[in-house]
Amino acid sequence: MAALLTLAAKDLRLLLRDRFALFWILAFPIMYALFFGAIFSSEGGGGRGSLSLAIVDEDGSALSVALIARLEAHASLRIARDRERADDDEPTQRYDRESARADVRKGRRTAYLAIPAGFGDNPYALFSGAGSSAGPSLELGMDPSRKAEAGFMQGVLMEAVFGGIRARFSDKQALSDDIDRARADIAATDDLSLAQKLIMQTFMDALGSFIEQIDVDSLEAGSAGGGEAGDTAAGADEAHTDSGGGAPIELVEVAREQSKGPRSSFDITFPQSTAWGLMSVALGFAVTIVRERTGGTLLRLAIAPLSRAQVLAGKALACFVSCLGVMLFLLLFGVAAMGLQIDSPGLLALPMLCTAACFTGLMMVVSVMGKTENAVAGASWGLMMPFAMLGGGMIPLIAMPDWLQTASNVSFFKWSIYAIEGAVWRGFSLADMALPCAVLLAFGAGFFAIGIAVFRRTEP
Amino acid sequence: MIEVSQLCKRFGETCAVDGVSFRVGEGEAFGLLGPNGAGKTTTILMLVGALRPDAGQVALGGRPDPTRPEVRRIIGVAPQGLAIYPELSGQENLAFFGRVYGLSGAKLAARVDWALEFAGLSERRKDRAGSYSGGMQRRLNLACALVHEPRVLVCDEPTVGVDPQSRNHIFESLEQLRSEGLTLLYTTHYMEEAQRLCDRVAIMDHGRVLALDTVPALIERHGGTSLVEAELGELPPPDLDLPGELNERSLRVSTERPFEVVAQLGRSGVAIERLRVDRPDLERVFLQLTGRRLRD
Repeated sequence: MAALLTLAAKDLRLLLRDRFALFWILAFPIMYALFFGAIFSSEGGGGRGSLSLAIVDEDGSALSVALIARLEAHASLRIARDRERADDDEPTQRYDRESARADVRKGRRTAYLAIPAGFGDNPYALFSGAGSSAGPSLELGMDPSRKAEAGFMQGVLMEAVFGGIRARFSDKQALSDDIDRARADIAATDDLSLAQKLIMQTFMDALGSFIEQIDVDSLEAGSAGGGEAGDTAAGADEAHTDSGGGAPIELVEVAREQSKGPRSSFDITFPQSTAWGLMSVALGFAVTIVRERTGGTLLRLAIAPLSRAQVLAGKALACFVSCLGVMLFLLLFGVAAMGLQIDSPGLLALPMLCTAACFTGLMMVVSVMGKTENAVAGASWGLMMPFAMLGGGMIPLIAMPDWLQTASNVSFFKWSIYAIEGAVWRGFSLADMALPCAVLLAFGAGFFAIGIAVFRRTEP
Repeated sequence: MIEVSQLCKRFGETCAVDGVSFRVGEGEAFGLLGPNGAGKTTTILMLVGALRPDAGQVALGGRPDPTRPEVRRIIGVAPQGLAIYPELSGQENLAFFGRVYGLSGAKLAARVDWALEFAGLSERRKDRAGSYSGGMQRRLNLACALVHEPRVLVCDEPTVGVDPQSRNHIFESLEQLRSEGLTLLYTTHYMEEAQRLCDRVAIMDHGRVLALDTVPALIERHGGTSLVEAELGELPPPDLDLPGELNERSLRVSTERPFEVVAQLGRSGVAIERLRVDRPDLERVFLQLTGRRLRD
C-alpha cells in the first residue's frame, strides 16, 4: 500500500508541475463553462416568454383585466391563467392562490401574481403603498433564491400597473366619474368638518372643470412622442420611485421543492466542463505512461520490487484522484463564482466516484493506443472527441432532440454529465442515479480490462 | 551472486540471446563486452527480471526467477536510458526510488544524502533534474540505482554520451564501490572501460558468449603478439643482428615479450629516433574472435 501511495503521489506531483497540462485540465474547462454559460444565458434572457407567470384574478374588474392584458403583451412573460392539467381529460381550472403557489413551488411556473378582490374599486389606492388601508395589494409569489428574476418581475409589474393609471388619466369620462364618486364620499363622511368638506368640494369642482377643459388627445400624443421605449423607461422609473416609498406589490416567498430544470445556464455548462477536464486528465496520464516507457523510468519501476499490477495501480490511483479533484474544483468554482447550486451534494459523490473510475479505465485504454506520446495523444483525441461531442460535451443534453439523446447513450460522456446533472439540478434520487452510475462503472471496467490486457503484453 | 544458465530470447525471427551462461561471484566486477546489438541489454533485462526468457534460468543471491519482485530486491540497475523524472529535483528522484524500495524516515534521508554526495549533486539537490547537464543526469541515474543500498549493481552502458569529466567521475565512483565489495555487472562497448574495471569479461556477439575469462587471460589466449615499431636514426651496419623485419630505417618486431626486444635494441647501440610498442588488448581480442572491430 505504501508503494502504491508513493507511486500515486509522484504522479500527482508531476501533474501539478506540468503547467501546460493544468491549463487543459482546469483553465480550459472553466473558460468553456463561463463562455458557453454566458452565451446560453443571454439567449435565454431575450427569448419571448422566458418567465412563466401564473395569474390569480380574484377581482375580475376592468382594471384587473386591463392589467393582465398589459402583462400578456410583455415580451418576457408567458401568462398562464389556468392550472397545468395532468392529462387532456382533466377539466380546465382557473388558478387560485393555493394552486398557483403549488405550481411555483414545484417549479412549473416562475412566479404567480394574485390580483385581490377590490383591486379595481379604487385605482388610486396603488399610490398609498402596500398594506395600506386604502386598498388591497397585488401579491407576487416567487422562489426567494431567484433574486434576479424577482427584481425583473417586479419591474414589469410596476410598469403594467402604472400603465393602467396613465390610461385612466387619459379617459375624461372615467375621471369625471371618479370625481363625482369622490364628491359623494366627501358629502357622506362624518370624519370631516363642514369647513373641510367645503374646501374639498371646491377642490373637486375645480378639478372637474380642469379635466373638462384639457385636450387629452394632445397630451396622449405628447407622451407617445418618446415611443414604446420611452414608455417603458418611464414605467420603470415610476416603479422604482414608487417601490422606494412602498410598492403596491407584496412579495411572497415560495421556495421551490425540487428543481426539475436548470436554474441557470451554468447548471448545464459546469457539468459539461467536467467532461473536458476529465478528458484532459485521462489523456495526460496516458501520455505519462508512454513517457515513462520511452524514458526508461517504467523499466526502473519494473525492476524495482513491485509487481506490474502495483505499478499500474499506482498510476490508476493518481488518475482517479485527479479526476475527482478536477470535478470537485470545477463544480466548486461554479458554486463560488457563478452561483451554481447543487441540489444534492451528498448524492453528487456517487456520480463523481463512478465517473472517476470510468475515466481511469479510459486512461488505461488510451495509454496502449500508441508507442509514442504523439501517437497516443493523436489516437486518444480521435477516440474521445466523437464520444464527447455525442455525449453532451458540446451540445447540452437538455437541448438535444430525442433521437440524438437516444444515440448519445453509447457515449460514456453522456452518462457522466447526466449523472452529475442529476445531483446538481435534475433532482435525482438514489434510485435514479443507479442506472448512469452502473453504466459508467461498466464502461470503466471494460476499458480497464482492455487496457491491462494490452499493457501486459508490452515490454517495459 | 549471479548465475545465468543457457538464457535464450527471440523477438520474432531475431534471436537476441542464444544460450548465454555465466556466473558472477560476490564482490566481483564482471563485464559484458560487445558491439551494439550483441545482446547485452537483452541479457541484462532477463537477468533483472524485466524480461522473461524463452529458455534458461537466472538466479540472484541463490534465489531463482528474478521476475519475482522479492528476488530482485538485492539489485540496483542504472539503465542505458536516463531513467529519471526531469520534473522532479535530484533529491525528489532519489527519495521516490528509495521509497519504492521500502525505505522511509531517517534511513531514507540518510541514503538520499549519501546518494547525492556520491553523484556530486549535493549543491543542486533542490534543482529540477531537467535543468542538470547530461553528465549530471547520468550521475543521478546511477545514484538512483544505489539509493536502496543494493548488493549487486547492474550498469548498462553508463557512460554513453557523457562528457570526459562526468565519465571520469562515474568511473572513479564505480571503482570505489567495487573496492567496497559491491558486486558489479557492467556492460559496455568501450573495451578500455572493461579492461580497467572488470575482473572478468564475457565477450558477446550475435547473442552468444564468444569468450569469458580474466582480461589478461583473454589477451594472452586471443590477443596475439605485441608489435614493436622503431624508426632508426641511421642505417645499421649489415653485420648487426636485429630482431624482426628491417625496411631501410623502419624496424617492425612481432613478439610476445616486447620489453625484451626494446632492451635488446638498447644494448645494440643503434640510434633510435622513435619507438612504439603496440600491446594486444580486448579490442584486438574482439577483432581476433569476430573478424571485426568493436565499434564497427
